[in-house]
Amino acid sequence: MKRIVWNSVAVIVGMAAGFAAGALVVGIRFLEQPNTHHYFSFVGIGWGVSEGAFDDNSSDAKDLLQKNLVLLESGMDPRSELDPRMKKALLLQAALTKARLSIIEKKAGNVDLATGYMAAAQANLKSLGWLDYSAVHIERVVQAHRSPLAGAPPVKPVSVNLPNQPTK
Amino acid sequence: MKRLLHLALWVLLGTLVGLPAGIYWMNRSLVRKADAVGRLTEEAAVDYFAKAQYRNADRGSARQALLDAIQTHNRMKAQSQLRGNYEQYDLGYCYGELSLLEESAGNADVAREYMQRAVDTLKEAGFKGTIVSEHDIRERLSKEPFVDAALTGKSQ
Repeated sequence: MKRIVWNSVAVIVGMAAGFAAGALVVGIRFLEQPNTHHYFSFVGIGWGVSEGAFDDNSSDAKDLLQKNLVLLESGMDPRSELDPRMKKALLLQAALTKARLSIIEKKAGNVDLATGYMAAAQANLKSLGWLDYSAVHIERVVQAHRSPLAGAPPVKPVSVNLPNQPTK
Repeated sequence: MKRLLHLALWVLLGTLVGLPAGIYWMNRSLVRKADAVGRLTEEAAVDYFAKAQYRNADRGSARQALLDAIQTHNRMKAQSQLRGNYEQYDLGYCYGELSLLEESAGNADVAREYMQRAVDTLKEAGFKGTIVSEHDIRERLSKEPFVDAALTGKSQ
């Protein structure tokens, strides 16, 4: 009887260790080698959180925007296997992130940094074919235009009556 | 010694059962969910890009961005688990924007075809009433903020 108990405990311990090891292996692989979709799940978090912090004038906004920029630039890296079309969408996000950082630096009195960020944003938007890439226009776009992931819009959108159907 | 070896074998047996269970659980709870959220974000990023290009970029860049967004929306229709009416609404308005863009470029036939697709896409998503009319789509797009650079004729 005692032997059965000990054997059962050994199996349970083994199962727990195996379960934890399996979950850990998948988790590490997920973080180390994200595929395109997993990368975009990180982009979504970075996009929503950093833009939300900027809109709320949070003290963390600068830090979050800089981290978001690093994440976006890793996707645009020439070694990245992302579709070139997706890289263009990331370039727009990076340009708008730089414009937000420029606004923050301008408010903090760091004129040189603000100018640098804005010049980089303008160069990105020019390469995307924007016709008006003046600092005034970009600031207007950034301050008035929220992404779909950054919470409620500051202005009331045109009302839309969505049908009451559950998503798939 | 023999007793310890037996116990170790039982632990090993348990590990062999636990390992695939852990892999399966982590895949279901984290990887698949991250995958679904990632697909949704990918679709939102491409749609956001297309709409920003439509409002701010030259006609050629705007057209290409809208066509890419339509392609992505259609691909996600078959793949994305979280996709719903909002994404279908975005697809409809990509067609609407493309229609106005082609109209301004003098391509009336193509513009008409895209507008019809816009209306059909919104109907397919379950929208009813005036929201799915060409008039309503035009009115909503005319209220879009910012400069409609693609429509000003400054472009290719």
